[in-house]
Amino acid sequence: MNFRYFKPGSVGEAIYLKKEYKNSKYVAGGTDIFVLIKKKAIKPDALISLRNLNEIKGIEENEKFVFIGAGTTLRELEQSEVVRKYFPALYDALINMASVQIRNVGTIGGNIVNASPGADTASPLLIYDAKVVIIMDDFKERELPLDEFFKGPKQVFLAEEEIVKGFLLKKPVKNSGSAYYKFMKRNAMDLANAGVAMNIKIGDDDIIEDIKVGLTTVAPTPIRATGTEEFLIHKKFSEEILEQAGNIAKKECSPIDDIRGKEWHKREIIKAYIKRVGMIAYKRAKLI
Amino acid sequence: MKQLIKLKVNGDEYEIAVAPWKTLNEVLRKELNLTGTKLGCGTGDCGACTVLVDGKAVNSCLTLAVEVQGKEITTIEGLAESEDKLHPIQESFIEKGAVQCGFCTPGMIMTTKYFLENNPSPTVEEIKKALDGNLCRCTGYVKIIDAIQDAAKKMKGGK
Repeated sequence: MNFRYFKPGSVGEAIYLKKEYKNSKYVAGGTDIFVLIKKKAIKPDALISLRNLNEIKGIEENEKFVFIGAGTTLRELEQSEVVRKYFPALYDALINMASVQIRNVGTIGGNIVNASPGADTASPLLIYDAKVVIIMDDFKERELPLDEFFKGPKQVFLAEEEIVKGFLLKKPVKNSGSAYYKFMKRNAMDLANAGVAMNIKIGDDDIIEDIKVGLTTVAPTPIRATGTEEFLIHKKFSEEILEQAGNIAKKECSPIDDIRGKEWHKREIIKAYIKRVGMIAYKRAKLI
Repeated sequence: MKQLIKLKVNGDEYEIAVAPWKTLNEVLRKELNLTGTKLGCGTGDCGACTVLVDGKAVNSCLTLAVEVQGKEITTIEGLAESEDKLHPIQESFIEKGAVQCGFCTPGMIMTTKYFLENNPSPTVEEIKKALDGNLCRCTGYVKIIDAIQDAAKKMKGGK
């Protein structure tokens, strides 16, 4: 191991350093990158810490939107009233992620940019229509819907020097509810074998007026299950309809056999969890 | 290339030259001889290396020493109130037999310190969840949970 280390105080300085050092890496919490460095999977010449950048930290809200800074730690989000109140699926994901030691330093930006197909915060952000706010190398900002940000396993559409500023989420509308649930082999410190997030809006006579479904670990990237959404929209909510939707979701995802589980098993989990998560989201919708 | 950094550990200030890739764990153990903090997996899974940085539990094996300059670091050595008086969590771990080989204990205790400060009256389920990031390979979790419940009582003044 041998690298230089910088801790810039502004986004401008960070981008300047990234241009100066070609084989460098931005690092936020570092909980993934230090493991990769220790395993010699990557050998950067320099690390540029983003921990001093106040511009990318914290949670702000206005009437319609909530902005979550990419540098906000997972623990800060878990303890945030705003997250608990408006984004229960994200809260469900946070409290079952890694350990408190990891959540105290790991950031939501790191979890998303790392782009694991099993990133726990990804499918909750997908169902809240999150937009990624990116600071470009000329310091201008661009926005991209999160589902267009993921390119492939561990890959995102982000240029070398660009920094994710944060995520813009829509506040929930009346009569909507959301939830996230993942299957783990053990109950602690485990990555998702498969996970489902759902955001549902229930109208008069229990008609599903809006529906968003996010799936984790069952495709090259976290995905929206658009076929399942199309099937459910404008239908009357029931357990049976969720069961039918589960059959569609299990076909539209594309899991693989790997160390975490078998393809057929992941498909069955998705089917079962569409129903389970749908019921929780429905109950939460009725509470608001 | 070494960098001169200032670290504040258990209230003591140190000025040391460290390479930027040295973890807080390596610096605590090898430079400052504070070997109470252990190194287990080195990848953030086992929690044996847990210390407090500005009061928050973190894995010292995944923290660079240069990153925590100017912050308050607390290790197991800094927990006891004095040379003859242990911290209530340490007392409870001894009294309840929660220490077997002892390798996981410093990490368990530091995690417990952080946890009880945030949740002074935890349920057993909450305790189990709080220990997600700490492994004990002597299979001693039952007694560790007993000790944490006991420590919680002591820290509230026996209630």
